[in-house]
Amino acid sequence: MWAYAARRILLMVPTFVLITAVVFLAVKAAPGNPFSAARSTGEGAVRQMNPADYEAMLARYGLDRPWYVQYGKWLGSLLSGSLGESFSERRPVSQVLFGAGPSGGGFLGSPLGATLCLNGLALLLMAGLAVPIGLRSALRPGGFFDRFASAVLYVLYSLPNFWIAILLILLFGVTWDLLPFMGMRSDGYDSLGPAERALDLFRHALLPAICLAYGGLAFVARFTRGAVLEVLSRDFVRVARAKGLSVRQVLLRHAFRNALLPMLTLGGLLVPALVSGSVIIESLFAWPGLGQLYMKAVFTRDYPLILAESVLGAAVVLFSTLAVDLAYSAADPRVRQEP
Amino acid sequence: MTGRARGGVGDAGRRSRRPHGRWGAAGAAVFVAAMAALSYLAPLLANNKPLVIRYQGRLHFTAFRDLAPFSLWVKPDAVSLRLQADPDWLTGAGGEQAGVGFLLLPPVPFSPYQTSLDRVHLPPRPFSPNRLGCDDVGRDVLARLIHGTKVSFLVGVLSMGLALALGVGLGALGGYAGGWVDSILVSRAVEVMLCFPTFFFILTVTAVMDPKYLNLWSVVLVIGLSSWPSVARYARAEFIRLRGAEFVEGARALGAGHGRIVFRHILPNAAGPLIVNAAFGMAGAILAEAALSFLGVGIQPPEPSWGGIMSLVTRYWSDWWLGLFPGAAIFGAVLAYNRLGEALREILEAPGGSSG
Repeated sequence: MWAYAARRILLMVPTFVLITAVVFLAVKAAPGNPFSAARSTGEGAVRQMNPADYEAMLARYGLDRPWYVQYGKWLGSLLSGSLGESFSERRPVSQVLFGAGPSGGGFLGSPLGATLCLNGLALLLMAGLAVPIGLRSALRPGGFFDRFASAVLYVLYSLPNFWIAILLILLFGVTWDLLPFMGMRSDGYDSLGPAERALDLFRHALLPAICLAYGGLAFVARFTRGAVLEVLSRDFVRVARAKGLSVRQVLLRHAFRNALLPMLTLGGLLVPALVSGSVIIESLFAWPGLGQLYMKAVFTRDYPLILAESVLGAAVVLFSTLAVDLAYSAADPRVRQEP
Repeated sequence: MTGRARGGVGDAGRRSRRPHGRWGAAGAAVFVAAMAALSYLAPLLANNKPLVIRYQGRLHFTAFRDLAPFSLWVKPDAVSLRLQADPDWLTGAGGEQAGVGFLLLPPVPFSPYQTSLDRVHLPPRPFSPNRLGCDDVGRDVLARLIHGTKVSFLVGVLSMGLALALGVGLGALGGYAGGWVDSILVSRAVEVMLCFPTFFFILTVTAVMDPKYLNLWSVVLVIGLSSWPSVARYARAEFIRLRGAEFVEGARALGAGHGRIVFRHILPNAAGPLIVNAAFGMAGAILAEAALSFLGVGIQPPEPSWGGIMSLVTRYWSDWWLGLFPGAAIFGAVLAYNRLGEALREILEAPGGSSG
């Protein structure tokens, strides 16, 4: 087990270096640099940066050096853990991403904490709804519930989440004024008791979490259904039924438990969608997480922050894949035989 | 977000029956065909230039001058010159219309760029000229939706074309050649690129681009260049599967070269899953473009795009129509392409049951 884990982790190192190279080169290859926009798209002479200032800014941030020097320096900053210095915030990117924000608030006050909080709720919603739907569908495949659920989930799956976000905001936020849709906390948050704080957070998180969750519903439900059906065709299920256990008991005690193993891979498949989804949903709901920070970095053309978040996004996917594989191999030793 | 669109729901439960019937598939095909027609015929459907007009004693077919082959060389006529100075000339109530005889306007008599202070934030009314309302500078939403179809349609087709060319090329190379070409170049490249959530990667590249370079072509390029890894993975798997097939060995025994085997024997047999994958990919590409434009780093205004129209609602929350209608268009397109992919999968992959 440990040898397998060690080998997998070592194999990740070159992949990770390549990821950093791809991000860096893609950003470098895109036309323009942080200051060219200020120079070219300004309206009239007022917003034009003069050429001497432009050169000075490039030199100030080391952007006048050859790309391999810039890449080397950036790689160094990744290794040192600072991830470079943010242009707009003028402090190390790692502090911007993982440190508490200006309003404090501990771990939840940091962009990372806010994002994890939101995505955690989204995953809970997703699993809480999709797994029962999948199980119920597997109970009678091809039956009314199965067909109905699959049609509904199919439509949900094709709904663009930023559209749903807008419709939810328009309905629940603007028209009915039921739920807050901007930010993470109400104004008087600090004066609230712990239970009220939790409720306040939950009310703020509910709409964005729904937007992140519903798209994956179809995926998780169908996966659950498929995995359970697969197990239901095995001999031990037949034995359990022959013993006289009810369908429900067999489904929950025997089939679902065994279906959990293939469902592990779901974790790895959902992460990329959640990472991408967070960017749009967080900036729409002004949720102070990594996604909103990323869009801010885009508009302030904060290159170090953009680079760091892109690498972070890929690293999250890489690590979640690894975690799933390791969990899988811990549960099922046959997996380790593969090189 | 776009990661979901790829591969389709059916992937999870492989033995899925056809869930939505033949009509769904036909509807999807009609929707896609309508998108293609709209993206070409938009100047005839939504334009402030008349289809036919008798002006100062002469017949003009002004709107047709905006249609693709003519728009390249035809110079503006007297009517379009007059409209440039006064866009509401023919639609404005009680305006001076001296010299106008016979007149036939397009069904939506507004150009997507035509602004008007009289129509700012105009809400939709089914029987008013601006059926779906107007945006913050008085541009007609329906006209912009019709012209925005072109962006979505072309992004879907062109970026997936690019992704297919790259993905099939690299996947075929890795799958057919095998050995170090596969393990060091192709598989490694695919593995690294698949670590990036596709939309996130696209966003990173367009986000750092100078806005003056952001247009249909650069968005197509970026989406195409970022979407090839999943195509390559499919192509590689297909080529590995077919490399050892009997008909390939037969062809080789008959003295066929690698090029002939790859293009004439393996590729046609591998095409099915790739086409299916491409349909889902188009849904993903359309969604990605809409999301980019929505975030302000895709198609730049005043060019009309569905996501761009929608982004205005986040500034003016009371203008619900700016959010509802373009979103419905995006949803329709994504649903249609996904459904088309499912239908193609049933048609192309069912008989042999070759890959599933």
